[in-house]
Amino acid sequence: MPAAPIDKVIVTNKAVLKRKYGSQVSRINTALQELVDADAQRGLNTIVVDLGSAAAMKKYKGTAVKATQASDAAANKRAIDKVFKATRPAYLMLLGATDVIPHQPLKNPLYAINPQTGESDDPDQLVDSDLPYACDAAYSTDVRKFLNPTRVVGRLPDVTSAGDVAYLEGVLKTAAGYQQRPVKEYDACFALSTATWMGSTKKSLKSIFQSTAGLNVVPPKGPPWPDAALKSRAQFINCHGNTATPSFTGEKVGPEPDFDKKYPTALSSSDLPRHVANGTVVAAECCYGAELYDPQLAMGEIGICNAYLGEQAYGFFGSSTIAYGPTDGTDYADILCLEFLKEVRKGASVGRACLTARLKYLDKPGPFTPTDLKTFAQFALLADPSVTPVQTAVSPHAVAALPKWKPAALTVGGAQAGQSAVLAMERLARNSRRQSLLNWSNTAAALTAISAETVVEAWQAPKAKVAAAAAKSPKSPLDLLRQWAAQMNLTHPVLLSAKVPTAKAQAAAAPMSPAAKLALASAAAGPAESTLRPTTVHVVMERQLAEAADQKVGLIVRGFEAIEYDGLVEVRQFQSR
Amino acid sequence: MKLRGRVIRRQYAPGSKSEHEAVMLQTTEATYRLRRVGANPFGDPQLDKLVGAEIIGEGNLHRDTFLLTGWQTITG
Repeated sequence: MPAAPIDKVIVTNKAVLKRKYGSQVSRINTALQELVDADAQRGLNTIVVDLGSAAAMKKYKGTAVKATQASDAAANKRAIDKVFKATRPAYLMLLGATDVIPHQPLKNPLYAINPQTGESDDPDQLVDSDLPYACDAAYSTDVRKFLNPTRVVGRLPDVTSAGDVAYLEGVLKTAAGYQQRPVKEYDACFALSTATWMGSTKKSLKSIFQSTAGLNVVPPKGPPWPDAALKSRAQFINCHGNTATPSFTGEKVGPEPDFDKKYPTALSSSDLPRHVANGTVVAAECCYGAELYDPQLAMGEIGICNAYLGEQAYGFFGSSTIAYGPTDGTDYADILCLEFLKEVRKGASVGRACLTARLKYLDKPGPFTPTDLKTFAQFALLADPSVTPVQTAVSPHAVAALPKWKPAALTVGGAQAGQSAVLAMERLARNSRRQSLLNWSNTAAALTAISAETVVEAWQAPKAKVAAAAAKSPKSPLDLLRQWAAQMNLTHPVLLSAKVPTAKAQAAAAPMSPAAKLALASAAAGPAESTLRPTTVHVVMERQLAEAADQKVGLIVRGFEAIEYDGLVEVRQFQSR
Repeated sequence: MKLRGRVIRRQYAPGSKSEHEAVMLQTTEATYRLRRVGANPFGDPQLDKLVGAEIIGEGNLHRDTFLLTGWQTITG
């Protein structure tokens, strides 16, 4: 009898879990088995693979990741790829925080030493990423190798460095016991925004919920939040965040000498216990919103992402590092977060919602810029990716089995014969969706013009007379960049430039599927307007302090990207979240 | 961990609108941004008061920042 196909793979490193939890690790094994059993009842054939076990990895022709090399990103990527390629599951779940399975370190395309200050305006040298786990490409630190995600991936984390077994047991039990709810349960939204980004947040909320009713602007509003608001199952947060900090921060518009009034706390981890509803799904644009930091760095307080999951949230979608978005429109982090929540509300699993949001991001017009690359790399899903919070409105089709139907091949977990036919159809539908996403990914990645290596260029303010003449009649891209920099009050920015390779060069650089080649050929043969080709991307950015902070430490990165298209230049403004 | 060093302000982006003096801890090995755990990450008047002092700071290094949980002033 052929073996049942594997729908979901949970990878973890049991030797590391044992090191963290000692004899309590048996509680985790029990909770894991409960999740596997619950999945079986839902028609998912789930297996747990111990990346640290030589015997287990031999089955997948891979090499075990010993506990001593648990932080080795390359070894983990290789091992997980082997397991994935051998099983091709619909869902891949990473179990544990980054001390169990590390993030993949990707070079930040925006990290560049500003010759005028001696520091990088974006201080993240590396982007901590789970994106490579969603891609078939081999280990690399170059995010451009990971622009065609095809895997539905999520990380269900424990708490970094801490041996809190009850926490991990709890998040596993939440995943095992999850319930689908009607979409109306995800209509009421709790949204937080700084006052400075209210315009952008409103646009995102209208796009997701067709309403801005759940918006709370900080300041003037602030915690404690009423239970009726905080218990909303859909949550969208567009506030500031900081590394190793258990709170998100608002921002007042205009000058304010008191820091605590200029940047008041919007939400803290300590606000959440007993105030979050089971099944909550959060999308947070905040810098470091999904950073899985060691709570010892913050006087024992866990990060907000961990706190939500500990309170039975079904998923937290956020950024590991400094994230970007515009003040008024929707771009960068906005796109990923709003598309994620839209997909969840449509009835996608949280994992598929994450993959679809990534693919929609790839579809955004224009070349993929350095800011796009960082954004694409830094957002991750913290959840069991198979959890599907919203019931789909579509009635299931009737399914009947003829005598020649052999359910054993596709049945899992002792499902009843009648049920097995329905589950088999569900599996077919799921696999069909995966195939569509795979085709979409190949096409989108092909059409995304990948920026070449960025080069730091000298930024010299011209003499006043020259600047005035250039402003009146700009003759070169640099004249325009200076004009826009002056408009944004960027006086000592760093200038990064990157040539955009031609489609031909791009096709030659990377192997492509037939669908991808066809998409590229169609684009090249399109009408003149669609063949207007991006040639160069410039990033002009500067680390600044807000108006209140005249002599204090702050970390706001502002700037813009300018994309040259044979004589046209498009500008996209951004600010760190 | 403990780090001994002098608390300094480093001029940043001189002459610009964003000119400011970040509070740093300068040790014999390296210079780190300073942040007091639990304080507003965007600005902390208490740290400003330490500028010029040599301290033994207690805390943790994380990314480019020394997260300060306590300190002892050696010389003011």
